[in-house]
Amino acid sequence: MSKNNELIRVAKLKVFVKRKYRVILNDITFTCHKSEILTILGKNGEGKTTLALSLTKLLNPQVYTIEGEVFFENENLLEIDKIKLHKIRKDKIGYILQNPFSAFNPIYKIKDQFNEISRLKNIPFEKFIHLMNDLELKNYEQILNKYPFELSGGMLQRLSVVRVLASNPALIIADEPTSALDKPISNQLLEILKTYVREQNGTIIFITQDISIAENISDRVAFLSYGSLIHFTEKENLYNQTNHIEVNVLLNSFKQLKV
Amino acid sequence: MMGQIILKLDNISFEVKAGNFIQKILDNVNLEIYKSEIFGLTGESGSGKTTLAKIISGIERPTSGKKFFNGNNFIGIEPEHKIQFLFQNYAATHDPLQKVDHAFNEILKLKKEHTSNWYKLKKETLNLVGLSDELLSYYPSQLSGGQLQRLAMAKLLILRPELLILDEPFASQDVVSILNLIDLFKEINKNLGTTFFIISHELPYLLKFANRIGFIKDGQIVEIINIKTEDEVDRSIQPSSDYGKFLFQSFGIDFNKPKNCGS
Repeated sequence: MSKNNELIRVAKLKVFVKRKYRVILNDITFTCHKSEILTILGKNGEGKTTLALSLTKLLNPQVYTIEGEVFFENENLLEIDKIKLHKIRKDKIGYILQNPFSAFNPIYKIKDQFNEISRLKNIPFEKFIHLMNDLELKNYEQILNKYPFELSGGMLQRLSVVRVLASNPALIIADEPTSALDKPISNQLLEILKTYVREQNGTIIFITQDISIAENISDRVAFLSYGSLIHFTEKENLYNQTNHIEVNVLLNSFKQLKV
Repeated sequence: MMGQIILKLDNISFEVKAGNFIQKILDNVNLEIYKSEIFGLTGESGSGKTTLAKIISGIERPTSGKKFFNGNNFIGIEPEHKIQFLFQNYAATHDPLQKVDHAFNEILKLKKEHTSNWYKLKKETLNLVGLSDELLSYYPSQLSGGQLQRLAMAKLLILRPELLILDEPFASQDVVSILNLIDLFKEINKNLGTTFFIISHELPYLLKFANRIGFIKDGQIVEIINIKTEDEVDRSIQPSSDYGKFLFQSFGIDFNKPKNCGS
């Protein structure tokens, strides 16, 4: 692919805990192109979520130090000033956070939170309702009138997908968006994300530990192990044996579990 | 394996009232669990899986219906601690201020066992779940997530329950840990003869090791499938209910096709 097609380029990204000098991510280098779905696959506690958050400096700066480069549309997100960064976060990048319970403001109704977004970003409110219908949230009037703590994890997870897709960002960073959903709805959500990539030319960095989901959604897969991206592969070659023992262990376990 | 019935649910219903509005969570559930079997329960979110488990364990009381354990009718919590429940949020069952040893002692007070046998029992149980007895002098914060889950299980197993209920034990685990867990469940089932009642979204994992799988939808058990062969996945099973077929389809399980893992 040509170079001007790239949307986000990460080079030598390193994240460590300041006081203990415990390295969490080391030497992360990858490029994600426009209208591509890149999946980052790894076991528990390998640093997947830290990677997602560090891309736009969302980690607590008093605890973590981030080094390296994250180029998004030719600007280094780790170095530009706060106001610019805020603008990029608001207009260009959408996050689907792993913990749906902390992804919404607890003291406002869903309706008011969506209203605020539609006012700030000039999105018609019908778009939210349309997306909610697509994600099987049919009784939207009831749901909109509720506070986040009155809804289940699966519902909140779908609502945060609705929130992100409504503003149509250039890049979506999705951190395990299907973890609280059962399989039929999870499949539906993946289809909607794929439609966003196909029709809106969107780009997704998708984080998961489920290999079958990675197979379903991604164009390319990157394996994260002990804080480094050790192996990249196209979707077609996902199940091929590699030189990396960690990758092989993961793939073999998955094959044994598959029926 | 149609052995002795360990647990019998007879027309169990459960309703929640909010003003004039009554929501039926469970609707006339009849279920028999056999001794030493692994029973898997699967269904969509909000279908009543966890409520059913809570009723079996006695945390919730049913609106109507009866339950029998080893042939005895009982209400509420089973008095001899023979039914144990591992919650989805197992990490919260550990007291961060107590050493593992102390936590075990608290539990052993329930069991009328002489103090001199306690250490032996603790060691045995820890070995059973694949942990060493060195752990007794540790605090929970010094252990990893996988160890905490095994420890939570050891805490239940030390009472030697006859029925162990597990709520979503595979949630947010990676495939390597899931494989280890399945082996662990099989081993405990074989060595202690414990009956397992496992709730999980993940139908493929249940197909790997359960003896029977129940499908629950809108508070009713629509179908129970028997799995005949052990170790290898039984490829002859076909769900007959619409909902069972739908679930098999959404996981992409089709036993008519040869097994295929990519290229």
